Amino acid sequence: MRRGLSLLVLGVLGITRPLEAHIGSPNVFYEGTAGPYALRVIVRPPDVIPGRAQINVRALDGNVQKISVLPARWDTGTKGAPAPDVAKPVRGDTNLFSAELWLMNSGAYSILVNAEGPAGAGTTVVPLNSIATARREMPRWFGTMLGVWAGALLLAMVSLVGAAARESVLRPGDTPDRRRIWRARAAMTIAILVIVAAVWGGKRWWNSVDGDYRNNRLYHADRLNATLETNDSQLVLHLRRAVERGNSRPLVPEHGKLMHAFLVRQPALGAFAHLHPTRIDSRSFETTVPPLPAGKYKVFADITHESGFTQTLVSECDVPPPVSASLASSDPDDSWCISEVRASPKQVFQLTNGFTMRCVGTADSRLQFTVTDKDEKPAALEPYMDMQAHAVVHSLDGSVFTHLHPFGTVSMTSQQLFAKRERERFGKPFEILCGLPPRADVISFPYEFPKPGPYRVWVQVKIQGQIMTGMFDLTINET
Amino acid sequence: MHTTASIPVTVPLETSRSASVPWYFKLLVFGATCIPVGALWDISWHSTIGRDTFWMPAHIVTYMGGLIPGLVCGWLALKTHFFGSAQERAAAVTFWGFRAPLGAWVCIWGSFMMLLSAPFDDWWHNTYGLDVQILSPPHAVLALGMFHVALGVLLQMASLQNRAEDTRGQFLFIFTGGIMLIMAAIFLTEWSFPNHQHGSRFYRASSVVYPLYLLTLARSSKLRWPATTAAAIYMTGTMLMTWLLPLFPAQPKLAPIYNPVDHMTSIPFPLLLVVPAFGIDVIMRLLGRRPGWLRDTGLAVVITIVFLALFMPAQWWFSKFMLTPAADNWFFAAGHWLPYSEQPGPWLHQFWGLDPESRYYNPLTIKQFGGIAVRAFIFARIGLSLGTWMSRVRR
Repeated sequence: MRRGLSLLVLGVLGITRPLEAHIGSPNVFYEGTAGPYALRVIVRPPDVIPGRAQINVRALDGNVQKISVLPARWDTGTKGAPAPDVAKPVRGDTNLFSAELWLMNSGAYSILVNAEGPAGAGTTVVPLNSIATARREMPRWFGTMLGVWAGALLLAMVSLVGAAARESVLRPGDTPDRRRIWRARAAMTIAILVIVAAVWGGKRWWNSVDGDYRNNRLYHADRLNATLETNDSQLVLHLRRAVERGNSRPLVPEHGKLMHAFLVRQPALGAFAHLHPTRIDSRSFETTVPPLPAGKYKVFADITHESGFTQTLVSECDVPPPVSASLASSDPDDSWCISEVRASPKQVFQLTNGFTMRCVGTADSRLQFTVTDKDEKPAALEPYMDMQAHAVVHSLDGSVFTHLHPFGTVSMTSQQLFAKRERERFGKPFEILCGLPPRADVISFPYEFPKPGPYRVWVQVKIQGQIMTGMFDLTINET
Repeated sequence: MHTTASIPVTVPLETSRSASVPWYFKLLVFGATCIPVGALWDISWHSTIGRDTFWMPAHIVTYMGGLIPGLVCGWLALKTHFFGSAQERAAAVTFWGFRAPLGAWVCIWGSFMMLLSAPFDDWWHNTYGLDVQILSPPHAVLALGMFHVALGVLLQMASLQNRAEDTRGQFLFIFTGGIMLIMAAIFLTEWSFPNHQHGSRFYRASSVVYPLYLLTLARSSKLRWPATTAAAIYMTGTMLMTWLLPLFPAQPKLAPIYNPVDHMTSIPFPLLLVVPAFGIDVIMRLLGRRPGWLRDTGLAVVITIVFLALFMPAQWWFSKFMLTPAADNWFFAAGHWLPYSEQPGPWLHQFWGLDPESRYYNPLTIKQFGGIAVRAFIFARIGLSLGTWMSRVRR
């Protein structure tokens, strides 16, 4: 009953979400193997903590008989985890399992997903941030209902005080005299004063809890300050991080880089750069800026803490006209794309050297692309920072920004750190293979767009030593 | 008494010793008892298992505490107003045009308040996350509802006791008072661990609640040792829960688990309330038989001195004992309340709030003691007035 009521309340509340890791796209998508089984895991984390995470696990190649899930906080791991919950098969779908888990504290968690079937058992780990991101206002109708209910009860209390003072001590059958009636009126007046004071005190208490939630429990991404300066004919971007409470743990590299910074020209999204700033000190990073067209840019910076907690920091900067055509790139894996030429209506984007990238699907919780050479054969993709491909999703209204990999939205480093800590805790092997084996013919990113509307998607691959970026405009309709 | 007997209703009071207490009075007391039993079970459940549902046993017992008295009193109000005899209607008060016993109206009010807390609490969880503490605004609304359900039951027992010319209702009245003491202590749990009892916050809270309750009961009950009996009921009830809950195996179902408990956690051993309660009873027997504004004010001063002189040293030394290994056994269950979500450590055996660097620093200074004494006096005085009124409640 309470759950039903929760859903009802959730359905009608106006919800606002501040910035978070993966801006505006809180759900976690992961595809990988658990022993012999290929799984897709989708976690819908709660937006207040403690809260319940919804977990869907799909066995991609069938044959899974039982799925169990277990939440583990980064610092206690499976040693501090309860017995796993068995996910229930979803009626009408033989390969889909569903479970619900409580996340009790803020911070880095991992969901251990265990699959069992005829081929044995296997486990995978899906890291996620457990953070409070929602600021809810009480809906007017709900506030009115509570107010009327409480008001009626308070009025009733005043009447009861009057009745108690007027009649309660009389012998049955006696009626109150004038003095007792006046005494009852005085008692009711005092009751009104006490009730007003209690309501005022209650409101102050509520405000103080709300202030504590806003200041201490609601997730605030670290503030990022972006400044530009010209240095030896090179435009240099300085990024300085102002650490918020609880985000002070050291950073660790995510597929080889301490920071992945994305510059996206606003508002037309016609220029995009994927850079890897160098750390200057614990708070500061810098990188040279490629020759991007002048204009206002949003800066999104992905970082991972040693706890496995990930953040996407956001800032803005005004890029001046390029001072030099040549670039002394800070990092060999930096890449950028300047184009107003989008993919054709058939979602075909022409890369350089005769290669073609196509968007071949957005259904079934997957974003899929192909890259072919001029003979229409699958291109030989080289690892780009250990990945088959990278993708960035940016909604045209700027409310969604996500950095994707073929295994999903999770942090590979968080996953590996969790496995390492488990090995250290128990002295037993605990290996997690991130993602599914790559397919030669298609690049697949597990993802669902968080809301309908127009999006721009950049997909980056490495072919013949060259990083190439395809750009697609997708319109997601309400399903 | 300034009354006029203008309605010629003959209301014979049952004086026969064989007259029994109406069945629904016992049901009301049973319902009121469900409230603290459910609440203490719920606290242990959240400390041990963590995960709950609307229909879990501890919740059901608590709801029964609101539902049973609420329904019984609803029935009583309807019966009295629409179908009551002249005698029954004459022994009622008027509320918005309807007639029923005062306690029934208070009970119904409390039930509706408990109901109000449900959607408020649900909204609260969705807005600020599940509140794992006892004290939160929606829980305060729930506690207010529970308090009034129990108060309604107490008033009906008071009416029964005061109208009977024998001992009927006397034990039920003081038993309900003891139940209300348990409820009050539950509300103060987060400030009342032994580790708090060398700081001022615990004594500030205690000096409000316990003099108020003990004096109200001492003045209104017809038993010989009412405050001591109510305190004994509080201690016995709490100790039973302290001892019984850990008999049941249970495991945490939420992460992170810092304290891997394998049985239901205990609840903290009760305060030694019988000590100040006995002192209060002695003083009341010596000086408190005849109420009066000035007399009661002077009496409140004496009782404040006695209460503080007995309560504070008793808790001061007992809490010191409770932090030693000697109390780490099934009887005192020191520290056995530690939930799965807290890391055991030396802090469990230390007094809290005594570190000047801590934001919770609340030392027991002379100034704080003065504030505690003033509070104890004010609420002892209020308790005497409430008790005087309650000793006269007949409807």
